[in-house]
Amino acid sequence: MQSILKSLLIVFSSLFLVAAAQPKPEPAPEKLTAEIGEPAPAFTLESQNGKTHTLSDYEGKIVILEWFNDSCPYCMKAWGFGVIPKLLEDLEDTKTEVVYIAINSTANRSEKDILKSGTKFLAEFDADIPMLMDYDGEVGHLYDAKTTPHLFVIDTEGVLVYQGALSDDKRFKKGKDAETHVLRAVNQIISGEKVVPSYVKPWGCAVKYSNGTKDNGINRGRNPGPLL
Amino acid sequence: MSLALISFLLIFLTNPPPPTQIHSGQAAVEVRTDIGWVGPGQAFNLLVLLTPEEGWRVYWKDSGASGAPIEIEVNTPEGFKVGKPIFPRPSLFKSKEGTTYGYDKQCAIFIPVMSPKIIQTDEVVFEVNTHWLACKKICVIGEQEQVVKIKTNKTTQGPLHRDMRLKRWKNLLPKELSELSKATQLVSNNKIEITGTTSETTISFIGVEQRGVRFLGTNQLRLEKDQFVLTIPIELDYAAASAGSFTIEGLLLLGGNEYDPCYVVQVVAKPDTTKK
Repeated sequence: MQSILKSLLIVFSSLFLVAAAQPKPEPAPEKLTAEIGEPAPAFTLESQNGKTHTLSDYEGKIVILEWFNDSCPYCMKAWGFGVIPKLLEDLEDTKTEVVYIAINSTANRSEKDILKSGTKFLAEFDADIPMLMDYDGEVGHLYDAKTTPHLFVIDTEGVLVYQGALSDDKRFKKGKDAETHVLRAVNQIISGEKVVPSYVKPWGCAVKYSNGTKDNGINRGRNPGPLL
Repeated sequence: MSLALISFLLIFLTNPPPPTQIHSGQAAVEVRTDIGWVGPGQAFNLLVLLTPEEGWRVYWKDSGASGAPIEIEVNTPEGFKVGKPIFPRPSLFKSKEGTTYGYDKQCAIFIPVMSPKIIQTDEVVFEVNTHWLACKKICVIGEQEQVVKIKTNKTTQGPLHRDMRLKRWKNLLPKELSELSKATQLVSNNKIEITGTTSETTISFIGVEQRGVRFLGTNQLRLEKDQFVLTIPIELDYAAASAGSFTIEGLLLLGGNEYDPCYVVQVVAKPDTTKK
């Protein structure tokens, strides 16, 4: 009996050593949650008017998501120089059902303040678009939104076909006449072409995501000082 | 105490003045040259010194996960030619949202200039426009236009300025990869492989993204004694390439601080060399 146990111990030890000696597989590259050519991740968020918006509400339509922060100078310029207002007009001219949504994942101020200033900002441009509040950044992280602005275009099948920069004119030299990648992607979808390029490195302010705490460090301790 | 003083104190204490809002782009710019005067056929540099305010950062020519790069435009006098700006080694700012590349201290960006063989004026004027994004808790855009006047000599080339800082700034610029012992660079199977010899164990790469070129950010480093192999996975979309091929650019960083050496990586990727 003792010799059987001894043999078993040797066999198991050998198996363990063989397993340990096997080369470890190389870790696979980290998979992005929102990927070009894959169905766009589903989400449900509330707009500035308290209305609930779910991505599936827009099935069969082209959906554009703009990561937005009204205090980011790039968003201010994109709107203020007329690039996005002109884009909204051009999208209407395509005579196709296109839904334009601003998503606000900003969390460097109180949620109430962000909702208020974002709403005011869009109202100043008479922009009749939903601004979805993503204060905890869950949807932003799901899409891996890096900058404001960062644009995503979803085709009528619900597939993500473009993500990245608004245009190549990051200094707004062409003003509202800048050609946007968004309009180009939408026109490519409409004409049945492949959306190329499907990715252009986005530029802009970093998305000011939540730091994971309930109050995001706002008003903690003594007077934190004003935000410049 | 007079009634006026009491009133003033009451008003002041109950209504403190609003905080001053600074919209200068949170950085200072200075433009200079590295020569005393310019002569015919002379190569020299314009230097853009960008100094972010404390706590603020500005970005390298590829800002990384977010941000926007420093951009410089130069209006040159007739016959003068300018090259691409050369950025010093940036710092890597890591956060859970990704890594950005930039500077939180003064950076000296060199712009190579070549003068024509014949100079007809006594002075030449360069207009340098610098545009940047500075970020702290929030981001602001900065822009400044500066004029640099340089005296000319129609027959003799000008001497380099005797400024110790010039040497220090030059030392922070990237070197050619050929200056690194046993260095090679290769593009294959949607990855770049860089090899070389160094005693450093912290070795990394930062790439300049362009349309159709994407760095996947999961670089792998193999070290064997003083030899290293750095593998950088990339995604190439040849449909987006204007010339059918890409010149992929980046920096190989040895060591972990801004004074450590860095090398320019530049490889051409063509469709047939990257097929799996």
